[in-house]
Amino acid sequence: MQKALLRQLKRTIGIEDEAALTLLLEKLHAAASSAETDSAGLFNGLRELLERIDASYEQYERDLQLRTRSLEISSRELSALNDQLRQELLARENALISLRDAVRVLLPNTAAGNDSIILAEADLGALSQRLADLVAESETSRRALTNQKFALDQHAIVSITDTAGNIIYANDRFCQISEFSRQQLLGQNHRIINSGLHSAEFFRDMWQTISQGRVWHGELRNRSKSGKLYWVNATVVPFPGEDGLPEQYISIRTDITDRKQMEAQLSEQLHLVEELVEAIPLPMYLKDAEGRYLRLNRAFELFFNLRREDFIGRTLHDLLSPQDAAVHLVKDRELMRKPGTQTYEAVVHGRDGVRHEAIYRKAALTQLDGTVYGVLGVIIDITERKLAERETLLAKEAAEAASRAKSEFLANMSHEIRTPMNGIIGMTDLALDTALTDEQREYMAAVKSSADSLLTIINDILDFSKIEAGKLLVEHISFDLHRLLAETLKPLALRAYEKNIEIVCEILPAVPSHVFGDPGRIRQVLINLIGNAIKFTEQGEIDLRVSLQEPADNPARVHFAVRDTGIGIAPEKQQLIFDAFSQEDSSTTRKYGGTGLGLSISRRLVDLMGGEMWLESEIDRGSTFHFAIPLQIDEFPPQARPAQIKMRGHRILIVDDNETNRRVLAGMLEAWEIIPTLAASGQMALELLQKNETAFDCILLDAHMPELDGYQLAARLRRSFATLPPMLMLSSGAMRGDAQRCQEVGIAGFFSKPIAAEELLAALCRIFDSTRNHQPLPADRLVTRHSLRELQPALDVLLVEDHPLNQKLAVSLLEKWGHRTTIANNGQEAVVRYAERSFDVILMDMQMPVMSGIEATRRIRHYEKQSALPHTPIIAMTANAMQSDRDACLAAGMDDYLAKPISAKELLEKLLTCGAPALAPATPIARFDYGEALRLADREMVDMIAGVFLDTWEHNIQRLRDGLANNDSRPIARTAQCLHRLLITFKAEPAARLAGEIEGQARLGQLAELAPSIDQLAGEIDQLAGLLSALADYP
Amino acid sequence: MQIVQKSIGKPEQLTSQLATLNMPDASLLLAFGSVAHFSATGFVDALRSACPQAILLGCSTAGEITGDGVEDGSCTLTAIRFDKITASCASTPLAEMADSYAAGQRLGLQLAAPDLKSVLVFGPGVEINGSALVNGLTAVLGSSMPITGGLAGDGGAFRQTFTLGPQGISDRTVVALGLHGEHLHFGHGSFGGWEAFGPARKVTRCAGNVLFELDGEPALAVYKRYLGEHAKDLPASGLLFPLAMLGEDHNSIGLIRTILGIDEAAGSLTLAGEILADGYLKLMHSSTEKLVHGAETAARAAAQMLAAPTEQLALLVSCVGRKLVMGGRVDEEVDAVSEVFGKQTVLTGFYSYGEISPFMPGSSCLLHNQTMTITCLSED
Repeated sequence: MQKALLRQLKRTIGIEDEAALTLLLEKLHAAASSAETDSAGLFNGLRELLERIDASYEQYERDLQLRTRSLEISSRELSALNDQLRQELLARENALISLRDAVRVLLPNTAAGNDSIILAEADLGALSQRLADLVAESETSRRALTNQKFALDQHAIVSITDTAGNIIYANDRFCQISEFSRQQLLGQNHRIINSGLHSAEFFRDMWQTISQGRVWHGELRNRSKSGKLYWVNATVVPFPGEDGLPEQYISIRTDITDRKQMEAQLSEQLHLVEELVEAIPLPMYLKDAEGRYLRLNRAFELFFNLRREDFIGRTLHDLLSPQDAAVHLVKDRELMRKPGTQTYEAVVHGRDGVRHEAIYRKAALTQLDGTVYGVLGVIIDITERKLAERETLLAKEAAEAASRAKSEFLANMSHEIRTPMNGIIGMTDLALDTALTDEQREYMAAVKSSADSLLTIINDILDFSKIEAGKLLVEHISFDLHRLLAETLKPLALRAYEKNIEIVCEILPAVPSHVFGDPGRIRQVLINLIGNAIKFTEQGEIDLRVSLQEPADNPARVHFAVRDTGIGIAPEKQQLIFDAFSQEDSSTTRKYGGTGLGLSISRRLVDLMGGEMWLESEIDRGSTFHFAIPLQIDEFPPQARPAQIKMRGHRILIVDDNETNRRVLAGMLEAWEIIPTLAASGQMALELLQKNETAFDCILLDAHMPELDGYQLAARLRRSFATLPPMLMLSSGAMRGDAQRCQEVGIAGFFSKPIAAEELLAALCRIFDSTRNHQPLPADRLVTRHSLRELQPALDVLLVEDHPLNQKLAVSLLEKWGHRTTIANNGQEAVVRYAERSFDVILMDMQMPVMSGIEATRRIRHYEKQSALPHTPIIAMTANAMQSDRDACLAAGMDDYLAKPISAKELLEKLLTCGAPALAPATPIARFDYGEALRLADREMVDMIAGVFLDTWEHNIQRLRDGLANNDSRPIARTAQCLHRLLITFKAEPAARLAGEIEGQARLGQLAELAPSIDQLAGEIDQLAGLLSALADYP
Repeated sequence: MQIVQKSIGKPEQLTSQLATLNMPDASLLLAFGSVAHFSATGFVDALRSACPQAILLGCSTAGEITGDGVEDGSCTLTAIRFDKITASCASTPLAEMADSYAAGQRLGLQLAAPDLKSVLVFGPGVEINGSALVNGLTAVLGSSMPITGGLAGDGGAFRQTFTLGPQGISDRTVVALGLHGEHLHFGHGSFGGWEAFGPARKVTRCAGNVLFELDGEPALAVYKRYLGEHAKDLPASGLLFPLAMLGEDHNSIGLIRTILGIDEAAGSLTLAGEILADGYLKLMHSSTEKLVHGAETAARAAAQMLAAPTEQLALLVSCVGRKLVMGGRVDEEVDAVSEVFGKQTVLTGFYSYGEISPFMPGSSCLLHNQTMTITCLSED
């Protein structure tokens, strides 16, 4: 029991102690049973009540105790905590103060307003922020500084010395360039790199400057460890200490050794230039933009005989005479305006009045932006050169005169020689044609042979001379290549036949027929080559192969190859033979004859024709001579008469022992769609005919075959077969009496080999024509070349020739051929005769007294025109083989020319062509369908040019006429060419050809006959134009 | 709803008292009694035979509450018959203290139902992390589900407690009741009445609900200093100074933690629930008046949540600490509650080692210590 309670009980109830209480409680408990309920309740429950109260007191006591204790303890704890906190705060405060002090120290001297506030406050946050800022700033500066230092070290040579000049810092570059290591430098005095090349004064001055605290700049030379010298551009900066006096010197240098070197080089070069300018022997000057002389060299001084000092700053007006000055002033102005270079000739008068001819070469001097700041001039004295030029000119003229003289001489010679030669040969021919005794014949034959040889030699020499004199000109006329070859070969074939050598001519199909070129020269070359082949071949064959060299275009490059099975030429001699006058060896001349000029001439001719010649040869095997020449293809050849008879499907038997011949013939026949059958011998042919039922329409026989020759075969055939197709004989040697033999064995036609395709075609036409019509060919009417030719009727010929011998010659020939001849002795007579009556052809000699051939021709032509007479062909007979003379003939109005001495064959040929018109009236150009042609033309092209053409063609025709009137071939040629081209575009063939002919004539200067052609052309174009304009209007 | 209550003095009186219960169709039978009662054989069978259909639920106590006051060593039986409310029950063994959270989850899963409206849970009072248990339940059932209940007691011995559930009596089982239906009206309130004093002490070392150091000093040492001669009664005497949980800012977060056990060797205190590792603690004390007033406050809070007080059951779960402070006057707090609720309310409950209730209406449920936690049930 709690004392408190006990005490209270004591006071109130009077209980002394707990024992007494217990007694009381027991009494009460006993009394409870007899008491009333509520009293009993009290009595019973009192104990518990007291216990509870006691418990409560105890509880309160405990609580109080605990609380007090708690209070004490927590108070103490709180105090302790408080103290702790206070102390911490104090410490913090102190820290803050020292921090503030530190910041104040760190702040830049000029404390900004902000900063003082910060310092005043004890705000730790702001303060530390400021501190952080300061540190950051410091860091930034430090970094920047480090970077700068690094950059500096990269570039410059840096060293720092103390006041005594001892090195306390040396950067890498310093070490590098001085070749000392850093250890070797540090502590050393800076003078270890002194070059010793500067004066003491120099260094004293430097020292003075820097010790006074000023910065020193300069260039100086230092010496490296190995003794190498180097230049530096140095800046020495004193670093003041705290007392303001320099305590360190920093030297920053850059290596300028290279620059110094360059400067030295430059000055050297400059010096060199100076020397050069002075040394140049040409007067040279330099002027500024205003024309004032800036520099003159020694040569200039000498040239103008002056002193340069007198003229520097002056202008050309002070130097030259007014006229001279004017010229140059203009030129100078030009140059200043358009910078570049100038070269011109001028006459300069020196100070002494001497006249010089000079070339002025000037150049404008420009700055980078293009402005001209001066002129550089050089004067080249060409007085002497000019003199030399003039002399050369004189010499040239003299040479030309000499050359002309030479030509005239050649021409004269040609005539003088040819005339008697003509006589000799002509007369000899005539004589041989008469009845002679064998002995006489033999002698005459010898004479003829000699004369022919002589003529050949003379021709060769003349040709050679012409070539050497450069007088040989090549013609450019239209001709039939195939026919030319055939005609050239026939006489050669005869010669070959005499030696028992076969001549074969193979023309490949691609080779064009109608070409432009010089047929005469080509013939000459061929005759030379084949002639040589015949000469140097004993047996075998000679084969002329004509082909087209790749690529095939226009002009076509035609390749001729003459192959023989002769003695061949040794390789070392192959080049020699082309040289003039040399033959393979001297024995050749003796054995084979000849001048040795032939090949040389041939080669030169080929060269002149724009081709080349070469050779392949093997000793004892044979040689092949090649030449290839360009020939312009004639696009509009005179229209050949087409085969009127259809050849197609006919069968023809070819009998020839020579394989090449068979091949060539077969090729020809196949081209006309005839089916050939080949037999290599007479025997084979017989077998074929016996065996084969297929009827042949014709048989071609070679006259010369082993075992069974052509004639014998023919005879055999006649005997064996009742009916035979017509037979044609081809023979290498056409002899007199062959005709007789042919007739005897019933051969319808006889031709000499090689036979031209044309000839064969014509013959076959005649044969098939007659067979078609079932007319047996009259046996006596042999179809020969001659007979073909002899279709020509008799002509009325006017022979204009003064030389009686020549007269006689010509007349004989003409009358032999059945022509009627009238003689005129000179040009004048000729004109008179012509006035009296008309002739079919006039043979005009050139050199005649009273009136020359040329003059006569002109008169005749004039007369023709006046009287509107038909054109009579005039053939010149000229000894002059020069091109110029031929041109003259044609210009005068002649149609053709014969070279003297006249060859009968040629005369015959020419007459034939004249005759042709007589045969058939001048076939007017069959009415050509221009409309059809236009439709075939390139429509686009036509559309494009039609307008222009229509607008200008009349004008062009007029130009042609004007050209003719002015005798000016150039515009005619140009206009005609233009028209030619245009007309080709329109596919207006006849008109184009006309234009082409006009052009050709004009180029040759042959204006004489152009008038009618021009008229004809105009007519043709007129037709075309009508159609063209219609076409253009209605697309 | 009908409620009948019987208070049984000695375990031998159980059967005779049960006979007078007269509610064989009871839906629920709440039993709160001393360890002696719960340990008695045939306890469960007797209960079951009296109310065969009822859900048996309850736990051992550190004091029993009826409308008449507080008893020790007795057993209060409260039989309730629900007319419209449906009840479900759940139980789960608690393996160890660390299993508390999972156990809570397990219970939650068993109870979870769409019409579940409130939960009543009773768990062992020793070797348990009460807040973890509550968190586990909340995790499954959601933080808006009202969960109330408490941790069993053992008359202040802190040695072995018992719970009563569908499986019967066990000392390591957590049991729970789920009340379903919209006819259930539920109110709750919880208040302590303790005051903090002294310096705020930093929790310098703790692990879950074990407090090792305060301000670098072993927590046990602090307590011993304050308890003085009463230190020998630890851990019971520790109830005199519960700890107020403070946040970093030294402000109270409204939770109080009681010591459940001590570790002399480690110098640590095992608390009924977890504390904040970075938080502060202050010692608390109280007086009987304050505690009674606190109980009154709780009662008012609970009553406010219900509409007009009809026949209702009020479950009072009060803390053993309060009983220690109030001593013999402990009945006063029950009286205070009773006055608030009125005659219509049947009071039952017990003194526990931890109270479970939402702190504020609508807030999540927490483990409280040193509070009077009241749950009211009524049926409309």
